[in-house]
Amino acid sequence: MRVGELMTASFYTVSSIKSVTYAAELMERFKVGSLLVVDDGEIIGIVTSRDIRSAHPNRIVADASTKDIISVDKECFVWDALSMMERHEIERLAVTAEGKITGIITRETLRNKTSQLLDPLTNLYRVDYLEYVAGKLLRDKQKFHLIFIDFNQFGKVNKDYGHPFGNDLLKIFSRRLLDLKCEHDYFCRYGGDEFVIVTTRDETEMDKFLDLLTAPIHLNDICITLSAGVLNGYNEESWFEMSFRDMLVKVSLASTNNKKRQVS
Amino acid sequence: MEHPTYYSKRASLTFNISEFEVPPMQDLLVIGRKAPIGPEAVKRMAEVLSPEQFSIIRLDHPKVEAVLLKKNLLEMVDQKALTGIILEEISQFVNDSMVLRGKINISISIQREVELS
Repeated sequence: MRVGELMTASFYTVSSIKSVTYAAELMERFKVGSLLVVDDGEIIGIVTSRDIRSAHPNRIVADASTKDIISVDKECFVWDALSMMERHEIERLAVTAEGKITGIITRETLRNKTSQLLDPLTNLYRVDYLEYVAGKLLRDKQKFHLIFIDFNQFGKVNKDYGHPFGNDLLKIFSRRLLDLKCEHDYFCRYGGDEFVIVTTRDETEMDKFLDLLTAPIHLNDICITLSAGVLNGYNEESWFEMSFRDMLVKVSLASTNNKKRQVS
Repeated sequence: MEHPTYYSKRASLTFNISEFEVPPMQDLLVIGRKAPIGPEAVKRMAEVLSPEQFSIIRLDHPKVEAVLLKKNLLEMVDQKALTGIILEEISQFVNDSMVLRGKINISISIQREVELS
């Protein structure tokens, strides 16, 4: 999910010599929270509703605006843009394409969008988030482990005990993931009873981590086991040539093979 | 018998004229953080009224956002020292919504000794 897909392409401008009162009236009229400050056709800053609130109404826009516009390229991932905004404690970002400002994106829009990418049942991100994380790690030439976990006999459990029972199992497992989570882990619910994990944990930790992840789940005297497929980036020669999709194919097949071995 | 009522309304004007000083600021302007005019506006005003004669110095101070100083002063006294003295002297009475005007006189005293032949 890129910023360019969410930005507002139309933006309004004000001259730096205009009063703060005038800028406030423009914002009110156009129902916007920011204006780009433009002098002689050149963008020299941005003035936001927060700037307006904290400035004397008689001041000129030049004395209320932010000169150094913080911007992101329209190809930037929404999570990167959001973390940049939170780091700088700003509510709006200018969006650029080929160095030119082409739109505005608000923190509220990004927060709403990223929360939509959360799976409502488990409160874990969907696969888009992991694709972004993996892509970032690959671009940074950082190796990682990719883990694919799914429940054994989940369809049968749903049939025998009902789908709400199955949902409870999924919630228990997602809570387990969140309890185990450290700064090196990224989780998502891939779909149904399938979960994908990207982790940059040290190799020495991996066996224990996998044991904790795949420990059977007990609920109402029912025990359900889990299968995992693991792709170890540290052992893969062509790791940086692979796409995230290729990795997912490999790791999900590994999980399926492990499941077959467990069942037979 | 009815008596007609007469009344009138009059306005009186008071007209005061004095010479407009150019520039309207002397050597120094102190601009509070919430003053009705900000550093950029002051800088532009000074540049229009007295081109190249004033410098705006932005400050990291809780109440004072910037000072406008005559460039001549800055050629005689170090900027940091001068702004330090100004802030020290006004800090007791300045508030963040004020714009203060000031005059600074710098006199140099020299004392030298020479060997008597």
